[in-house]
Amino acid sequence: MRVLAAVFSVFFIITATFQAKAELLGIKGYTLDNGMRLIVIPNHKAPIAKQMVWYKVGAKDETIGKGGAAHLLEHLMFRGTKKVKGKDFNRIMEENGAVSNAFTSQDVTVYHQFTDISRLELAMFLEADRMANLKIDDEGFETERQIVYQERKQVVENNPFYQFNEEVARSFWQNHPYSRPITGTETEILNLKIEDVRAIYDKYYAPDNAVLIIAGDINPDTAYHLAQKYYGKIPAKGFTNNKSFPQADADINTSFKMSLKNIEIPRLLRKYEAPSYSSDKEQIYAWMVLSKYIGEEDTSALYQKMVVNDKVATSVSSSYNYTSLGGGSFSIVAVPSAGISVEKLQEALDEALKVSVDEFNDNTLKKIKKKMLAGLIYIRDNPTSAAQIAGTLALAGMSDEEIENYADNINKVTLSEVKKAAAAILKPAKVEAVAIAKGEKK
Amino acid sequence: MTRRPYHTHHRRKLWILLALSLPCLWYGYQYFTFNPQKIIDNSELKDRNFNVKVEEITTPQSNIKAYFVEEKTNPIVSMSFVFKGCGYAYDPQGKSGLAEFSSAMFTEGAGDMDAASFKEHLENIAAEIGYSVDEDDFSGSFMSLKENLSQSVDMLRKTLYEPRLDEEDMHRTKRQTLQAIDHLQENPSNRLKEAFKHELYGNHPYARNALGIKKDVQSFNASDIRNFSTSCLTKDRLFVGIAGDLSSQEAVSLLDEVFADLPEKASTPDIKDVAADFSFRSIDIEDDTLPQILTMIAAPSVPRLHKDFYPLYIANYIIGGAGLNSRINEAAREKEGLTYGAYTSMSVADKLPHFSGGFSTTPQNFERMKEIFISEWKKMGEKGISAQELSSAKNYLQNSYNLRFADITTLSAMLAEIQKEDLGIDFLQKRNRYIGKVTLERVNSAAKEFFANDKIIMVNMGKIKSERNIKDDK
Repeated sequence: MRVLAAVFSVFFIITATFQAKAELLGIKGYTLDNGMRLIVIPNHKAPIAKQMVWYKVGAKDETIGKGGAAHLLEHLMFRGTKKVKGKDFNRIMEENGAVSNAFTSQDVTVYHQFTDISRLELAMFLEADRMANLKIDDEGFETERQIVYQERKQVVENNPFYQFNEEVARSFWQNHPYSRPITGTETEILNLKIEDVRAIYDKYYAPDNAVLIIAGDINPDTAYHLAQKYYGKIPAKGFTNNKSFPQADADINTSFKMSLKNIEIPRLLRKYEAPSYSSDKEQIYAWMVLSKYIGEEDTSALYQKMVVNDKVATSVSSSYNYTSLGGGSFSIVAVPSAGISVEKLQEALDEALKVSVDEFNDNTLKKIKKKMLAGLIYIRDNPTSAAQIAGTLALAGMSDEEIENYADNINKVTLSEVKKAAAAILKPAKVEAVAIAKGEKK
Repeated sequence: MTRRPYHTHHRRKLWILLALSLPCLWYGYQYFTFNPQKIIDNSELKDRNFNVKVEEITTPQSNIKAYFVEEKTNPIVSMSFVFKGCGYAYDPQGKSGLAEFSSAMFTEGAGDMDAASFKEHLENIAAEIGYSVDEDDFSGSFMSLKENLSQSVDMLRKTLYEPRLDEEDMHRTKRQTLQAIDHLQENPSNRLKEAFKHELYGNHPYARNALGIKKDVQSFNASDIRNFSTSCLTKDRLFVGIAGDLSSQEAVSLLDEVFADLPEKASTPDIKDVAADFSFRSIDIEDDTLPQILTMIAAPSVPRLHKDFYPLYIANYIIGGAGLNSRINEAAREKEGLTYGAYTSMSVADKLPHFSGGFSTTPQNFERMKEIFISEWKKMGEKGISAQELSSAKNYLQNSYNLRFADITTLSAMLAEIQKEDLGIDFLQKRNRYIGKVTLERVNSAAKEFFANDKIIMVNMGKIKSERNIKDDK
């Protein structure tokens, strides 16, 4: 049960390798009578299956001052319902050989089990049961709150770069709820009450606010009928999913240096505002092409210029998050070579970006598309990663068709669309942040 | 007497009512109480037959063997290979980090392609080639589309036989490696690991880190890498697993094409076993920058083929391998909320099989956490496990078995590992039986021997002294 500070990891998988195949995952989609969306990804390699339930609620939905409530609720989901008492959920899953876990991000809370196919129905029963019948007692609450507190200490505070990333999020998102840590702050965690987490459960945990993914050795219609059997009877809560949040001020640019204990090597991070699927779906594929060209893999323009040719950096890479509901972002991270100052690195990055964007032409576009489409089939190999990808894209708001048409959508990208996206990263980044060693001159 | 018949009649009605309601009550009881086994028994998804057919293949002239599984779900091919005894612990004196450095250089251009065009071509044909290093072995992994197999194999061949090792690329990789050595120091768990390895392994080369030391890395030249390659990456060290959409004939050609030209025999010296001293000690490393105290532990264990391996494997699962349901997590995390998690695991490293484990917690919880860990360890040795625990552990270990067949990369790696550890070609069929055969008595007698509180090392890093001083003041 861990916090996913960044759901970004998925995108590297998707954009890394690719092949012009008609459909990305071979999914079959359904909607249950109570509004629950079901995505089935058949994979008959072995008698196993992955079940994931993605709730459309995360840290961003918490009340101000109640940070960490969504994540604490995720932990409490393992502490018993009316039927499945106490810690029985874990015990039963364990005895049946299931690998079961959960994670919370800004947008989503996800519960998942990886099981032998003979135990899939059991996992579906248990997951459906806790969608509607959770019991939270004082003792379990108190213990889980302590565990979550230790989790924040271990995962975030032991790690200087987690602290750096939280600082970047604060500057980037300003008044938007994304600016707050997913775990909540230490004080928030220690002050959470049962009512705070119960409120999230009562309001958001409902079939019509969730997506069920079943990937593995099962036929779509069987999965549908089992989903009806276990989830179909849970009443809907009438979700419309139109929630608005304070927007970050587009005109405010921030740059800072943060000195951190235990840092040996400086890092430069640039983070730009970018379209996400929910904010501007037409543009995202051009941005994916741009990111691939600019900074994904050693063959990218920035790596070749800054690491291979000019030797000012030992690494540089870009990533593009288009699945956040509150808006997308495009990030570049660079590490200077020994003896290169951060200022020098910044100048070099400016220059490399300018030249890279200038050099991008129809021929480059063709080459990048080819690379992006070459190994697409690999993501069908493992049902657990296919489920993760489908869930991430579905929760970003994509229809089944949109998910499947990935290759077509990449193929349709034009030079002028990429040039338009590229113009945005030649302007100053919304946040330009440098992590340096404590005691180093600022 | 009207009352009596009435009464009788009434009673009869009650009986009828009761008789009628019993099935309903029974049905209601069944419906409202939860019985996991019933869901499994009634599941329409049960009874799937699954048998992974492992075939041993051999190249006709060069006599190279591999384990092979034909798997046609997707048109892709995976191959994993291991050169045993070519890991970082075998790096020559003064050349620490050489295996790791070589693993990076093999994909920095080969044959007639410089680094950039080599990587560009790999991406274009969606071939994935990677090398990695642990203390014992040098390993390779290869993934290809079926349609591009011959091109991909050609690329793989080039990495093994014709790495370019251009000056320019050597320099760049050195810069990156030197920085990565500094980077290790940024992460507290790496700093702890370094101290821990030093405590456990002493002067044995297992105490090194894979990246090596800076002075050695700076000294690497192209002939160091070529020497490493010709002296260690040889047929007698090689174990190969292949899985995917190809026939066994095609797998034989693949094997032949990639490995037939390797030298026959390695000329690198073996290293000795670690003479580890596990006598109880708890070493504190003061670091006041850390919000938590991090702890790693080690205790003696047995090699993979030892008779006590499976009994100890089960004991490990119960004490600290079962995630949140393990004894240690049950006591420390689930009951007292002391930690986000503690674990134990079994290492089958060639030169020192051992138990390892660890946890992290805030300083005020540290003494209690440590007490729980040690008392659970001691309890395992003294009292062993219960029949119920044994049966739950077997259930997990057997029921989760098929999960390892989720992707062909894991499958090909298992096939190589099975050969390296000499587990037998029928291991995938027999493994659940090995687990099933373990008796309570065997677990408890092995536990008695290996879980002793006078044979465990702990290394702790964080605000330890300062915390004790605060306590003393109270």
